[in-house]
Amino acid sequence: MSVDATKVAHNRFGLWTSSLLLVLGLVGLTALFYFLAVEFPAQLTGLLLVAAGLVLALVPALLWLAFFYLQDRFEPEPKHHVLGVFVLGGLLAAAVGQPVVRELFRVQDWMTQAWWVNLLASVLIVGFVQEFLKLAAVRFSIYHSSEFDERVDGVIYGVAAGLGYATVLNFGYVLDHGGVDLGVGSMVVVVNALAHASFAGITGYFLGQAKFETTPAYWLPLGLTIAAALNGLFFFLEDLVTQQGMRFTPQYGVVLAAAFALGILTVVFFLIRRANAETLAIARYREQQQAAVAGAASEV
Amino acid sequence: MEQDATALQRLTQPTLDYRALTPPTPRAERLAVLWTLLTLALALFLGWALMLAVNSRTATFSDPQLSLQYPAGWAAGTDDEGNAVFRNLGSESLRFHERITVIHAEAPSSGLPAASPLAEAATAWTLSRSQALSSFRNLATVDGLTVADQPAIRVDYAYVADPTAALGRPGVPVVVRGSDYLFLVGNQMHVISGQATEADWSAFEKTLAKVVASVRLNPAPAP
Repeated sequence: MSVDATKVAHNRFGLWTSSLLLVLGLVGLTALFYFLAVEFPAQLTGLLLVAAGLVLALVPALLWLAFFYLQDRFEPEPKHHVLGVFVLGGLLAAAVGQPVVRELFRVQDWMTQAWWVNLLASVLIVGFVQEFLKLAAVRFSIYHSSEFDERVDGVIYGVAAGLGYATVLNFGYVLDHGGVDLGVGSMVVVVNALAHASFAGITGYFLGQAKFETTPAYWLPLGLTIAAALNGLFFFLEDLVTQQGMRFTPQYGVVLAAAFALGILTVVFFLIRRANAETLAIARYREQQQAAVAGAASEV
Repeated sequence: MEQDATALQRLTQPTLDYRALTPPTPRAERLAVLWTLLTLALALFLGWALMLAVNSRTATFSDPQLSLQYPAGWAAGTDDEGNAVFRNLGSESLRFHERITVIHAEAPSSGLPAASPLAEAATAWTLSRSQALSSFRNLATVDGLTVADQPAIRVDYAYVADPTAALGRPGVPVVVRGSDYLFLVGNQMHVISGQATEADWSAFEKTLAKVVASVRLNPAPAP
């Protein structure tokens, strides 16, 4: 059985431009919010502060969906599927991810005891649980659908699941703090969104390959392990650069998250481009072979 | 240099690998999911082992009256009254960290009739707590306990804390639960007090029980 090579190898440039716009837009947005918070300190308190924080938590996902919708309008991926995977990512975070990490393992109680404990717990527990659930949100839903017909779809749905996951984490952050101020809150929200979207992009790439190619048995576990390791490493480094003694400098976290997101998405873009070129080259080679065989047969 | 160029070419240029146009069989897909689940299970098993190893680590607190073991990762310090406090800075609630306080005081007297000096001290202690803590509710008083081989009473309570008010920032108050273990040595009352938010309570209760079980009286210095 073979696949429609031109379809599988179709690259959606809307995904990459909307992701790039998301990174740039979010960094710009945090700079704007930080400026506004300093120049016009908000007088929000109580429920209004919580409500403002919850709206803020939704901004990254709304921005990406808006950019993606605009960029992808000539070659549309069904928006309700993208939205569905986004919601599923969020539901899995709320129903499984957070309870496992915070209530079953209670990592917050013990992971800060030593740097190596922090790093290992970040990778083995937080990273693996979060990345597996984002992978599961795609693998056990849209993956078998006929809409998942291009290699790059893995990344599209992966990013959607990652943003859903990040949105729920951001809701939790806002509610835990009884609301957040615009400056610091927007940075935490942006860091979560960029990080989770880009790590899910990695598992999305591995899923896209696994769907259309014969991959070795270690392929998906490898993707999960790479994403979990980067997830753990990122949040470990983010702690290091933002927490210096009693000083909290979330702007360094935004820079780190933007660098990670750009780096990861660039690597995934080139990997997908290479895989697509390979698919097309093989398809052309097969056509030539078939034409040669047909030519030889007609001569006979 | 040539070798580098070949390696780069291998990474960026497509190769004619026929697997690129052959989708996996259903069996291969099932195996891939199985291996992924096994990888997750292995990671979580290692994480669980790490958690057990870290949680079994304790630190020792000792003052002239008693000594106890508390979780090694907690921050040790003193409160405004100079009592030793151990706080879990990573607790679920960021607004109120779960904490255990060691209090030594002269055995208080309630002036009310009581079955024993310990019961009288517990009544007076509960009364003083109700005056010091906002919206205080005494949930239960459990006697017949033993701490450091001494008869002890546990006072369970709840109150409303407003931790952000002290920082000058308006915020939502939190309901805090507490258990104070009281025991007397001569005329001296010792209290091991544990407090945590409702969200943290069920896990914290176990930690508090372990800390209380580790309490040992220090021998009085020779005169």
